[in-house]
Amino acid sequence: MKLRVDLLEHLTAEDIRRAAEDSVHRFKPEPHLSKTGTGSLSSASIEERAKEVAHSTALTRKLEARARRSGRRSGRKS
Amino acid sequence: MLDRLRQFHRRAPFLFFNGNTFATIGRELAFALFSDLVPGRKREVGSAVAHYIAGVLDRGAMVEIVESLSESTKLRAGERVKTLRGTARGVILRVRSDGRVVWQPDGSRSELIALPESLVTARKKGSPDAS
Repeated sequence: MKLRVDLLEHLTAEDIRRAAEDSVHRFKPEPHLSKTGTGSLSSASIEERAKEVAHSTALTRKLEARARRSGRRSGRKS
Repeated sequence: MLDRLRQFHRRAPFLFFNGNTFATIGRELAFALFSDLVPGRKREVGSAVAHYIAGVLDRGAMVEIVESLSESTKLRAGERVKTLRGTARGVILRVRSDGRVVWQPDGSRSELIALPESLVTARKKGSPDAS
């Protein structure tokens, strides 16, 4: 299996910010890992797992679209 | 990179919500890097990475999960398998003409039909690389 480093280049801070907001309810706000050495992350519900599958698929499509667009743009320049 | 994200989480540069910040960065990076995996496997890889950075999964377990999910989905009759989350183990009985596999969970006589992407190879207990 090939690691898609090419798609990684098109991941933006905004993508990560939105995903962090969506999963914030599964984390405790306190810095448990730094105080106790063990962090906290509650289990995902079935609905949340389905949402994550949909999110990862949508993200892949978005990154592939961005890669195609940037390829087209750089193709025109050269 | 993942070790660094976990270190950042441990250092807790923010007053609150360090966990979701750094775990999400890792999970989204994993989703992008493992884009070629089928959606179910990709979700599990992202989840394992997020759990490691969140500090609830050790490095060895995370690496084992990611490696097993990255393996080929070509399964053969007689091969030992387990579900993606490791909740059930069993053996492949046969591969159907449509590509799906028929497998039997341990301790059961039932025959289950599954997509090969939803099962991973389970190493026998006692083998050098068994966990």
